[in-house]
Amino acid sequence: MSEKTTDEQIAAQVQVIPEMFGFLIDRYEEKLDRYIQRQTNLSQDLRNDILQDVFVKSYQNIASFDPNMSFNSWIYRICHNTIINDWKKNKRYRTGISFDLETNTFLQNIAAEESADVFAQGNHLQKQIQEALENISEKYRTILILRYFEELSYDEISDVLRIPSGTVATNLSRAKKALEKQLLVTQK
Amino acid sequence: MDNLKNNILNKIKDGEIKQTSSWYFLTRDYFFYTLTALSIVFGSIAVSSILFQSITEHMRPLRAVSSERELWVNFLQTAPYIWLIILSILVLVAWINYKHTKRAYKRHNILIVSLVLLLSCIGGGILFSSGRAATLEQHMRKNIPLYNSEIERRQSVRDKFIERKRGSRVPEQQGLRYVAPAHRCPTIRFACNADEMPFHNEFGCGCQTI
Repeated sequence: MSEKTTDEQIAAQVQVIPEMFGFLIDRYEEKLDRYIQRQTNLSQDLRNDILQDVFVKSYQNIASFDPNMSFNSWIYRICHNTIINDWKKNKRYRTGISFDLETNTFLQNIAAEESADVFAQGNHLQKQIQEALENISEKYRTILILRYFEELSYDEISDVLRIPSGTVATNLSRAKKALEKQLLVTQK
Repeated sequence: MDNLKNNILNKIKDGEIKQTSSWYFLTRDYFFYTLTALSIVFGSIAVSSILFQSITEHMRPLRAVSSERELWVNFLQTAPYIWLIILSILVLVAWINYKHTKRAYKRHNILIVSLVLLLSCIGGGILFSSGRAATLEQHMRKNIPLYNSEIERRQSVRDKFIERKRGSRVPEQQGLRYVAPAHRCPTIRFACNADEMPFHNEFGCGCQTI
């Protein structure tokens, strides 16, 4: 299996050769683990449980994967749903948000699209961003994470959250405004 | 992390986790598409009945005896509300079913509902203009007893209105003397004077001076 083989091609082959699923696990386990951590801030053991669940569901439903869609958004969709189900099933509430040292990248990504000074300053402490993100609504936080941490395209976010692309753009714009407002509050 | 991968691959090897067949997903998708299409077909029938009852059975006869305002007041009193409710339910059912299909989330709800409504209206319009609406109506009236009684109730409201209006207008119409409204004509017998002959039209039946 070469590096150039796309996820979509591997996904198609998994239906015939199940062992190929290992390649998809290799490609996605770290990425999804980071996403779960950002969304839940759970311990490694609990995150592994969710991750295992994600891969099991992905394998079971691989035949439902539409090759016209990106595999990335398909597996993110499963991951996103599994996290929500885990919250509901275990009556677990978000224990806070965990963001690694990539908060600068996060702000740079926003600043590239947004002209607001507050994002361009780049001198925000990780704690400030974390606090601001914690104080905005779940809907906006998720879309910001998907766009600026996970770096998904609008179409991919539309596939993950199952909303039209136009709604993604609207929600993202509102989310940035909400975050900007919160950052200004935390700065004071 | 390697443990996770090995664990899953072992489960796959041991057959503990299995892939769901692509037929299952395909069948599920077609099932929801079929239900959506069926809702639109029944929605078309609903629209054709609404058009038939409103235009053919109410608006046309009423137009001859009432002003534009009276026509709309009467229309609101006798509109086929049951069909309007059924149409709303069918649009809702079509929307719910369509939402279960693969790429439905790409479209706004308002667009889906509008499209379902538009397709039902086009289908209903075709049924109405091709004359199939009348056949469907007859069929339903013959086979659904409660449906028939509802139609009769609405027709009697219409006929009473026409009768009321007729008081001032009909005597001016070439000496027509109405005996009964249209829906009662097939069931009554009446005799005309020697200088009269029987007639019937869309408002009712009676005697006409020769």
